[in-house]
Amino acid sequence: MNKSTTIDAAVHAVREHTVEIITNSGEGAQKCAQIFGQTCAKMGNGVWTVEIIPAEIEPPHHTVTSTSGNIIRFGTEKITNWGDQSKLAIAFNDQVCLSRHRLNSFDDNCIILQESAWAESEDEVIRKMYAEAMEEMSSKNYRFIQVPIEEETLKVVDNPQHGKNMFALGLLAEIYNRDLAIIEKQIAHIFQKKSAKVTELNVQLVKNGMQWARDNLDFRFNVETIPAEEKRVVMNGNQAAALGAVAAGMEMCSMYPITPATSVSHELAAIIENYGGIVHQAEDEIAAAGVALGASYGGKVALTVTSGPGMALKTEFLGLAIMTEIPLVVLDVQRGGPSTGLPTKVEQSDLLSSIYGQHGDAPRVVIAPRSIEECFHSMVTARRIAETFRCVVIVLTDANLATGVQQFTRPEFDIRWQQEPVDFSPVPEGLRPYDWDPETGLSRRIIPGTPGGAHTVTGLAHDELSNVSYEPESNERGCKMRSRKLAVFQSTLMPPDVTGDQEGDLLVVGWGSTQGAIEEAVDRARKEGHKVSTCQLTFMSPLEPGLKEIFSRFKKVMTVEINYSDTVGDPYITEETRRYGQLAWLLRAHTLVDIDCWTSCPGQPLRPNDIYNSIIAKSEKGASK
Amino acid sequence: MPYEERKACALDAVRSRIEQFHSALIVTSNQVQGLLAGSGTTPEDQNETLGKFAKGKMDMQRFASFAPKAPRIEAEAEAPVRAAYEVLKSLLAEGDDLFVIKATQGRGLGHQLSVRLAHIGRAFAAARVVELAKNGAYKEDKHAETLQRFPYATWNSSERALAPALIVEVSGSDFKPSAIVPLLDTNMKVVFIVDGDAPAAALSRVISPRVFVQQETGDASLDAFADYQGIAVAAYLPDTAVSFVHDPSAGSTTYERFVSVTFPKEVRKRPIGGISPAQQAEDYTLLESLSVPPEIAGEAASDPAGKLSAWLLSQTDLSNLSA
Repeated sequence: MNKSTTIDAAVHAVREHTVEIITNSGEGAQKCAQIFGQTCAKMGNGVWTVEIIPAEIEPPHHTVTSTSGNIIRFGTEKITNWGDQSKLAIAFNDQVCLSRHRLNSFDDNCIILQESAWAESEDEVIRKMYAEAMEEMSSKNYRFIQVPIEEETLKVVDNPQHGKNMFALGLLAEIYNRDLAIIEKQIAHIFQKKSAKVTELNVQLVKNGMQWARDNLDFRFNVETIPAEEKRVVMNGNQAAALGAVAAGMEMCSMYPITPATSVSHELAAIIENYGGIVHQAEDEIAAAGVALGASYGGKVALTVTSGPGMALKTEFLGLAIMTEIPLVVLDVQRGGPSTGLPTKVEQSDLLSSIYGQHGDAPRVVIAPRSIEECFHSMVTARRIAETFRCVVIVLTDANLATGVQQFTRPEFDIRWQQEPVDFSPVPEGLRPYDWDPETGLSRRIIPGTPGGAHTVTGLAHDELSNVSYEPESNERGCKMRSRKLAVFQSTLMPPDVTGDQEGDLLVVGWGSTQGAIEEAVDRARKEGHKVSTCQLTFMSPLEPGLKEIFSRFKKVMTVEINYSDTVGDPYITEETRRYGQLAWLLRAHTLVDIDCWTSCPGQPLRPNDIYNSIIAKSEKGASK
Repeated sequence: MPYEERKACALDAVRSRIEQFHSALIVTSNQVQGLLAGSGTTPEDQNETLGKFAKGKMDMQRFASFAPKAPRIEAEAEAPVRAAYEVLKSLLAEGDDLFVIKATQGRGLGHQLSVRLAHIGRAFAAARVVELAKNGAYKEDKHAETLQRFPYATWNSSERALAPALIVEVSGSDFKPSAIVPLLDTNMKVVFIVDGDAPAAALSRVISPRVFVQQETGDASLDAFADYQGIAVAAYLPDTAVSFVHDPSAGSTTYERFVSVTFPKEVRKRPIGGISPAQQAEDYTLLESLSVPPEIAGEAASDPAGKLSAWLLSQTDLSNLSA
């Protein structure tokens, strides 16, 4: 194909750009974005992608609720979050475009390549909807370019639903000068299980998209690429967690499908049997926890995967795991709650329920990866903590990490991650099943079948022999020993890093997936002279040591979280009635410091600009610039 | 397709299974090595077991002081564990050769495969010996010999599921695949590369409802064979043989499962090795009868009631009925 540009195109050099591909559900936006994101990453750009997924399965097409898509932020340097607003969008219809406009997702000068068919639709209702949508969007300075996406797609395939996305990919490839050879390879990989003809047609559509852009578009963007020297991988957080589980030597994953955690089990199912493990889909969430617990009891390295509503159901078995001191790793991919809440949307909703959601005193470890790379590595650490302290370790990720795609340094597998956990050597005479070390609360884990280790296991209060015991002293001792282990574990933790100055006006504290956005916002504020620093926590229970001392070095401390908190000044909301964000509650109780919070629960990741505005507002309330 | 290319294709088709077995072998070998070296006892090892997530966040040395030490084996267990480790190491050293059998002329094909599987099975025996030794249950007189030979018949279901694929280079005159039928279980995959004249329908004897069978005479790849999850047998034969693919996932009746069949124009009627023309004809007829849809014949062909009942039968899946 001739690569000569038929119209003059101005090339704009930019450090980064954010692109949206928005379609009706089922029109292939994810595939288009997946290939584009992978191509950017392989060419040496930093990348972060975020899926836009409708909450319903197959909602009515051509409506504002049907929007499905993907946001790709890519740049010359490392990208750690989805950024602020999109600079360019490809919209398959006016309604999905309108839905994004209403969410303030587009930059004021966003270029929108929009399907041209709707304006002239034979259906009067559609023409009217189109006109109204365009009228509403005219409040902004968007540059709309009408593209005959469907018409062009029909030149190659009979069903435009199976091709428009690849034509759109071609548009992006030309606008951002992406390497066609890499795109071709990605397409071949994605369609590897289909006939060669399918790959061929898809590549042709990409080429046609590129040609259309050459013939019609008067702009290009150059986002410089810097190929990485080290080996990198590109994946989303659920893939990373699944691979991490395999690398950690986990032998059994028992789960029940739940959005947005399900794809962890899909990823695991595809590979775990090659490494001697299995994925078990149980009949429900409770059974899934029970099966994983049973496997661990039998000496296997077990994992159960779920999301908020599933965590609620698993509570009973988590209690049993804590009481019987059977190691168990639980991956909770958080979503919006309560109840079924926002299945496909992000929220840091389960922090407090993960730490405290149990009757009785039920200490457990809770850790929170902050990036997709940490989703991989956290599984290795979680396993080791669970086995060493005979406890439940809950790994809290969220929908942002689960579906976001980022590249990171390829992990170098270490066989010691898979070190055999189980000691089957004969139990010395006189050693009891819960022979707690009075200092540490630790005791040897005895697996069924270990010579000399026969004993009954019970969820009832029990003594060192594992005999049911309701004696006041015995119950007190059991509680103390289980709690002591957490204190001992905390003694192995180090104080968290503070990014920025070690003292100042404002410390912004976050946890989990918000790290990238918070650090970007803080960095912006610091460049403007604000004395603000940030600290991102990863160990939520027990908390990292030294927090009170760190907080004391700042005039104000504020958490930033994706969950709900009251705003003082709203009806009935006073300092006394105000409910805080979950991390703020936790830190206030833990440190007795008057910690404020800025939270939001829009069902989508936080934007650096919104966090920046909250920092400025907080600074102006008292802190000096 | 030249012989060497066929061998390369065959290796490609079984590569993932070989790698899977190799991977298990490496992991087991490393674990046993760690056991012998008392791995897990050094602070450095403990640091690594915590992974990258913990670096900079946890005091590794302190954590190590609470971690249970990796179980050390008793003195009397060391010798069998070391012997098991040597077996694993020696199997690893064989590389791809471990999975390729150059069949010796005149010796039974089934026997030669059984011998190789017993040799490969030593890997499983080694893993078992390590566990037994660690638990104090190892008995020299009972278990030592399993490290020398661990026949397929003694593999358990998990071990059979992990069975590596085999490539067998065999002369046409020795190609009597019915001898391997007892080995076709769970997850077994075998590719034959047949040199010289061979019976035209040799693989017809291994066809059964759950076995993928592919007999190739040209240069077709073995992609479908490679992708099939379950028992599968393939063979590259000279162009005087029948080409066919019997894919259990393609249908419920035998003829539906034949996704392709090409009979040669002419079948030579002479003995090949010890296989008489009559035996070859039997195989050929068997293949024909299995691969062709049933026809309405005789009186039924003209009788409307017969036609109807034949048609009804053809529309009814009776495969689940037991005798």
